[in-house]
Amino acid sequence: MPKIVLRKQNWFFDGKEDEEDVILVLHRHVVTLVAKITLIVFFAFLPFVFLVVFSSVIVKYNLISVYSFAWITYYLFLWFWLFYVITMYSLDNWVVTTKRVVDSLQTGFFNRRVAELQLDKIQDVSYKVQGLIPTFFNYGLVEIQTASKDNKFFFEQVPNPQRVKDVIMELIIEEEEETESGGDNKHPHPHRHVLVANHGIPTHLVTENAEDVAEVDKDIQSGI
Amino acid sequence: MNNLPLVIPVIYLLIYWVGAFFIVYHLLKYGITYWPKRVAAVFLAGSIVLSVLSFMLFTQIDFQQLFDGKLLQSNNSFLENFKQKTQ
Repeated sequence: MPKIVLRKQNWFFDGKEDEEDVILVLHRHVVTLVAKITLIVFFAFLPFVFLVVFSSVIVKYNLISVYSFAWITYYLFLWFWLFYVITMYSLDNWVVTTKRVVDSLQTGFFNRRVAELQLDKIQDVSYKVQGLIPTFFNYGLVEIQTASKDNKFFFEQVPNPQRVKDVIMELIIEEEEETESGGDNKHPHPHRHVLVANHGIPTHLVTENAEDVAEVDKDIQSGI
Repeated sequence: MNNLPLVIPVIYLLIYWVGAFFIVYHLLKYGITYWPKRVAAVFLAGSIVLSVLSFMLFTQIDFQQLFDGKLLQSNNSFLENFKQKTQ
């Protein structure tokens, strides 16, 4: 089976070390945002409903200016709520680098938790896709087992969990090979599959063409 | 009493922009890849537009009419009021 080329990204994150490269940045699947966004959209329609129901009162008592002001101010705070949800979503992420796995979770403005796990501490990686919607949209749980029985890492609701597992396994293998060869073994496999992160979603780009692999390796060298 | 109407938008816009600062700060500091930066820019642009609109609409409110209680006594239609204001 052809191996996976790990495409290094130029992305920076808080706490990134100089000698490590980002391979994957993962967020929960966008589908998990749908319920919250739907609620906000529902609230966005309320002023229209209110206007239809109370239009006669608003006109009768000349409350047009008051209502317009209330409407826009309401939308201002709805705008804030929408982006608060998006912010919390974007800051709940997992970063896979060439050295470690970083789990960041932001719950509120003043509650941030960051945990990390070195690749050489990982013993096993498994994934689980459970349920109708996760199966349909292909997202699920990636579980990383460490040497300690109680210490597990979970990537929850991440898209394409099988690919994520493959990337982490490939990183572990490369790390082991690099350790065995004393750090000189950068690209030991000439023909590989290519896996890149596209908007946080791992995308499998298949190529067994030596020229394509060389192209990707060139991109890796130039840090694209 | 005359300054009261101006205090209201100052208070809620201050509260809003403190929260907005934290959103932009978190997106720029902790966001990874390019899209949190774009999200922050869109949020900032929308916030400025809505804040200005909100403030402008606030200034259109006739508080004298509200405080005098004329509002509740009024039974003029919107069109009649509109005509009076535009004349």
